[in-house]
Amino acid sequence: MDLNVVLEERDGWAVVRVHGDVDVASAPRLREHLVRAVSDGHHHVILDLDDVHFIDSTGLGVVIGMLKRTRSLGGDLRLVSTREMLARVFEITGLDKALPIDLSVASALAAAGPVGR
Amino acid sequence: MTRVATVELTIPPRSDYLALVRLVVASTATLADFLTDRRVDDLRLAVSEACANAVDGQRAQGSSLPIHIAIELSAEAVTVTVTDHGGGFEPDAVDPIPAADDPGRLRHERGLGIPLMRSLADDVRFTPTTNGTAVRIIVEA
Repeated sequence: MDLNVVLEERDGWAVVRVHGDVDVASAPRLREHLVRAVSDGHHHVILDLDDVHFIDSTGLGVVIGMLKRTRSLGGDLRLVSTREMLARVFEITGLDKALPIDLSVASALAAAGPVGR
Repeated sequence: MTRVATVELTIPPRSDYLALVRLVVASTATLADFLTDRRVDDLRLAVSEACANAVDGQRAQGSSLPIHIAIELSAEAVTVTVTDHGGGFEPDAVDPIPAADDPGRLRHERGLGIPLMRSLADDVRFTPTTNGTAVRIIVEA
C-alpha cells in the first residue's frame, strides 16, 4: 500500500498526517518526510497516525527517532491515534511511558498549547 | 473431528511483498472463527516481523531464494511458519528492551521486532535449517 504523508501548520505545530501501512518497506519514506520537516524548522510536530492501519517495529523506530530529534532541538513530538493496535504495541514496548497517545489533533493541540516560531 | 487446512505462500525476499503476506495471513486467520480481530492483528504483526527478519537475513547473505510462509489452521490454533535462507541467527543474542522507566529505553530504535513477536504470539520458536531459520508462530484459541 502506498504511503501518503501530508503536512500542515496549526498553532505553530507541524501536523503530519500519515495514510497507509508503516512497515519496513515504507518507514524510510516516512523518516525522510519527518527529517525534512525538522530541517525546515518544524521542531514541534504532531504525528497523526489515525489512518495508519498497520505499523511494525521499523515504524516504531522512526517514531522514537523523531521523538529524540525534536526534543534534542528543544521541540516536542505528539502522537495521535484512536487505534487499539497502536496503543497495544506502545504498551508492550513501553513507549507509552515516553510518548503518550492523544485521541485527536485537537486534543493534542489543546494539551500542548500553541508554539511561537 | 479436527479440521486442518494449510495455505502456503512463497515470496521473493523483498520487503515490498510483506503487505501481501499480511493480507493473506489475516484473511486466512479470519477463517479460524475462534480468533478475535485483535488476535488476528497480533498474528499479522508477528508474522510481518518474522518476514522482515527473513528478508534482512537473506539480504545480508546475498540470497535471492524465495521465503516460504505456511499458515495452518486447526481447531485449536493458527500456526504460521516462515522459512528463510538467511544463514541463521541467534534470537537470544538480541538485546532485551530495557524497562519502560529506564533512560536507555529510547536508545532502542531497532531490535524491537523479536520482543514484539514474543509478546504478541502464544508461542514463537526459532529452528535452524540447513541454510537459514524456520520461525514458527502460534496463536491459540
